[in-house]
Amino acid sequence: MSPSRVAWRPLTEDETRAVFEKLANYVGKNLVHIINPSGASSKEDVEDDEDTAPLLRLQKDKVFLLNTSINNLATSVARPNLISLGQCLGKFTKSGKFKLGIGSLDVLARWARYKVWVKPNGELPFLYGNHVVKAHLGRITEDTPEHQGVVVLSMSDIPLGFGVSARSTVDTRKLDPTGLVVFHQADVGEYLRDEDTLF
Amino acid sequence: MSSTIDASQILAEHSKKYKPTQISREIPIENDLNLLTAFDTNAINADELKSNRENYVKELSRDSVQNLINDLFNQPITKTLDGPLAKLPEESVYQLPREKPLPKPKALTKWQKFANEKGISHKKKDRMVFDEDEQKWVPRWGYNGINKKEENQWLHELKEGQDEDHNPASAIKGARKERSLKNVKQQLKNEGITKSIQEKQKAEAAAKRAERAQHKQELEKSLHRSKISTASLGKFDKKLSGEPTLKGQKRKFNPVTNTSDEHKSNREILDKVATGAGKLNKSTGSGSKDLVNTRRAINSTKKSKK
Repeated sequence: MSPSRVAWRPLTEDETRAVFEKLANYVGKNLVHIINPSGASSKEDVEDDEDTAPLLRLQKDKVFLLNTSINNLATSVARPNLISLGQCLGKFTKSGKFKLGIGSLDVLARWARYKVWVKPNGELPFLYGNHVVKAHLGRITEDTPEHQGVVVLSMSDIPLGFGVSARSTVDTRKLDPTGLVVFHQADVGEYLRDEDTLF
Repeated sequence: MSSTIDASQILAEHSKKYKPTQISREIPIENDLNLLTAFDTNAINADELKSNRENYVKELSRDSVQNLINDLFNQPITKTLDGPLAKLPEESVYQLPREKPLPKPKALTKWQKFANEKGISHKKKDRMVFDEDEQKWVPRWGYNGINKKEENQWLHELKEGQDEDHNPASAIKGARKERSLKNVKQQLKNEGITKSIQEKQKAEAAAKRAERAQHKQELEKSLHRSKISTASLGKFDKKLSGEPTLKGQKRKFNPVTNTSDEHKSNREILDKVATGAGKLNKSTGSGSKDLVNTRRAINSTKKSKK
């Protein structure tokens, strides 16, 4: 039986691993910068980064990233009344898998290893929840492998969402214009489309 | 006319007033005089118990007590100033079984084992012994003890072949000390052996206790499971009076505010994820590590063969 995910609480070890692995799929080794910005090793107990290092918290299946001071302030709010706090990274499914949500875009866009830029005519189709096709592809990171988490940006470097690469960079060159390049996972259009359930 | 006495009437009156002293039952009542208890194993009349419970139980118990008192008067009786005293048997007929097994006998020391085998019993040695040479009583050991008689001689004979600087007094004393040390050594060794045996016994007992505790826990678990295995998950089942309520398993999570521990564990998990040790979902992606996607390569060769 999986542990209850209703109450506002820290993540268990397995849950933390699930979140980290999902994030690592997009940011790779940059995960360190997100979780442990001061670069303190796990062996030593560093006092300095206590206030700056982010924490992961769970509330009704949703995972939030927030810093320690906000977390401490939050203790004065009753758990049933607390709805959202910090940055919503995503949520756990009923079967215990973790899914990244659009709230994690800020973090991902900053530290992503692989990026895809879409042409202006491809921005809207992507923001409506469609996959990215070859015709809309403006630019792509050189060595992107297949089935790799990628962040989708507009040509002016504004992050639009993220997804999973359908082909490696080499394979995309041979692709016809209607072939899929990136599978859609989340886009900023969700802020409007899923306003009620997002947070 | 001389009036005749109706004996039957008197007898009836008497029996009304005094109940019979001789009790006869299908199964004779058993008395345990040591515990001053009577056991009536006859079947109870269910109808009478229902209709006239108090009197029926009173009757039954009176009979048993009467039988017990009859038996008391059969015991050897001595007359004292306070009245007659009956001597009760030493042992009771009914022995209650022990709750726990008999304690194991203590492990014997090496000497005790040897002494038991040879039938040597402990004999207390007198502290004083008679010295034939001096014709007086001297202590066995200690100040002026007879064990120091030889080394305390005022004159020692130097035997042939011994060195000139050989000191017979100190040699004798050294030998005595050595014997004493050897004895202490043996004593310690024996104690060690018995101690190890005792420790082994203790460990065995502890293991047995742990096993029993585990068995009990498993039993409780299966009982719990069976209780919540009905259609209503045990909600509408008949409860026995005094049945303990089922306690659910409590999950414990880390505290919300103790962040330093959390940072530490986060860093540890980060290290694990970075090294890829014990990855949760191994099937995600092939890309960065392998240059060749083996799954796809196998599939494509299969297709091309067809």
